[in-house]
Amino acid sequence: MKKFNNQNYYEILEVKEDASYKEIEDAYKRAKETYSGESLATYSLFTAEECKEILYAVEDAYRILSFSKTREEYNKRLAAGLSVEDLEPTHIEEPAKTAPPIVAESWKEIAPENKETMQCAPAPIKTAVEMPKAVQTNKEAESFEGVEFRGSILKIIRERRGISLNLVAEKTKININYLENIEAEKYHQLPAEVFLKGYLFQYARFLGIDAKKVVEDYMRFYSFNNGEKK
Amino acid sequence: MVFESGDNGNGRGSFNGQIWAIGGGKGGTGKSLITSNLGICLSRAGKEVLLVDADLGGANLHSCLGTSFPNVTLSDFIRKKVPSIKNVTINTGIPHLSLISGAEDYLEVANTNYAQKMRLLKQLTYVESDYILLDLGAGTSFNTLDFFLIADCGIIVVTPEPTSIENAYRFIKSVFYRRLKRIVNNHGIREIIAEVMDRKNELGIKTPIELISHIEVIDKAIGQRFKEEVLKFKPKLIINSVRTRGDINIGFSIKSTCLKYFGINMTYVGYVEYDESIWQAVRRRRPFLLEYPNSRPAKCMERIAKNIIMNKELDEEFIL
Ligand SMILES: Nc1ncnc2c1ncn2[C@@H]1O[C@H](COP(=O)(O)OP(=O)(O)OP(=O)(O)O)[C@@H](O)[C@H]1O
Ligand SMILES: [Mg+2]
Repeated sequence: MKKFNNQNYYEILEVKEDASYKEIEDAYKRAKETYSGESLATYSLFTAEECKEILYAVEDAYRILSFSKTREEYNKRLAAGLSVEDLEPTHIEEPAKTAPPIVAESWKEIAPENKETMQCAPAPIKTAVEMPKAVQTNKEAESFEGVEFRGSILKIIRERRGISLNLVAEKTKININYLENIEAEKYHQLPAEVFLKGYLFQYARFLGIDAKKVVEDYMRFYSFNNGEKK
Repeated sequence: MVFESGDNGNGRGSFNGQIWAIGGGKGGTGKSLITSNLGICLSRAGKEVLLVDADLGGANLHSCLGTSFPNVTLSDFIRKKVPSIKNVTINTGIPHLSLISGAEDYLEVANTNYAQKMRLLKQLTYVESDYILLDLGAGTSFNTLDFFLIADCGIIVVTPEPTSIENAYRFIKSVFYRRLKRIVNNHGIREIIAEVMDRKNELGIKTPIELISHIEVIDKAIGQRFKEEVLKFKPKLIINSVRTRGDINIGFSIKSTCLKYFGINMTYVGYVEYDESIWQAVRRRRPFLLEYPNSRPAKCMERIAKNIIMNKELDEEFIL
């Protein structure tokens, strides 16, 4: 069970993986009807913005699944175990946009505008550019090996990615004061433990770093400091 | 169960039948009308059917069936005036169809606690019926939610109007959260669920999907358990009083919206057309299906009954 923006194309269209092209067609039409107008069914649960987001996802899904060639290609990707959650996690998109992979950046600088030379640009660089986002995150996660995710570290990671705290607050719906206190390690001005864990998890996911480890690490510092005071 | 495998230890005894509960939040959407007519559909197919007016505030199922107000009701049972549920079961005059009429002294009965509900349920299973249909009241009182959860099959009746749809969503959410709350003892988690019931909660959690990913962080096992519950929770959806093709399609849209927003996969089993003859029959206090057995709305009802039994979705190809 996932949020719609973590779903695979079949889930987005609400069809089975062996759906016929007619079923895909029908599902697409129905989704368009549901999410493009002012449907009585949607307005009280989804904002216009969210409906638009769903529609984009539906369009994407339809574009891929309605042609045998692209659909087969996609099926292979699914089968290859690129788990649906890894496909297009929107929460990683944001940082990726603001901080494009350094390889890609430098490649642009070196590569001349000339089409011919572009074609013979070294292969490894090209893969780096086209690498699925999920793989990028994994790689980053690896580079954090040995790092203990305390507040100050989270702050550094966030700033390195050029993400403002406001954006985090807006996207995760976490109160900005809490975020500030989390980063500043003001352990006594944080919400109750259960809530704190949830916030940390969401925040870490948004940054695209290992959320479980973040919660673990942070809570270790948290209990240590809270314990000392008592 | 609305939840396919139950853990409420309700001791179903030798009862092999099915309990259906018909609810949906808003008042006057046609719950009683649909309950009584579904009951008639089933009884005409030779099944033994018991209708129970579980609308503890505004019992009126008897009037949908054209029976006069009975002198024994559910409240006599709940207040233990009579020993057995059989003492309050009355004959409707329609073959294979019996009725337990609703409680009229509702103040007392409205406070029915969980144990009393379970006693009622247990007794119901001694009734030799193939189907027991519970007609629920409007709103999201604990009684209504619990009866809905007790059933094998929960049916939500919605009309294609904003208020009815909004209330249906509220109803689904309330039922679902109540279920989650019932299956955990963890005080902290129950608190979170209570908090999340309020849409503007501090956690910023809006949907069961978000709730569950939040819970998973706190307690993996409970999170997993909740996920399973979502998958098992499969209420049926009926759209009543449709006038256009667009109204029929609202059922598909509601289904999709619930899947995307709540993660809950409803089965859209069918719709009932709006028809003058329905309220004419209601005014004459005659069951619609017996008055106009070959009408289009009657066909709609029959198809709904069939789809529920076969666990099938409304097939677009066969829309009248
Ligand atoms: N498909 C229909 N076509 C025409 N009229 C209808 C239809 N469905 C319901 N009605 C009218 O709506 C009235 C209310 O229906 P009903 O009593 O079944 O609603 P309810 O949901 O049980 O209400 P309550 O919440 O008060 O128990 C009926 O008496 C009938 O006149
Ligand atoms: Mg009623």
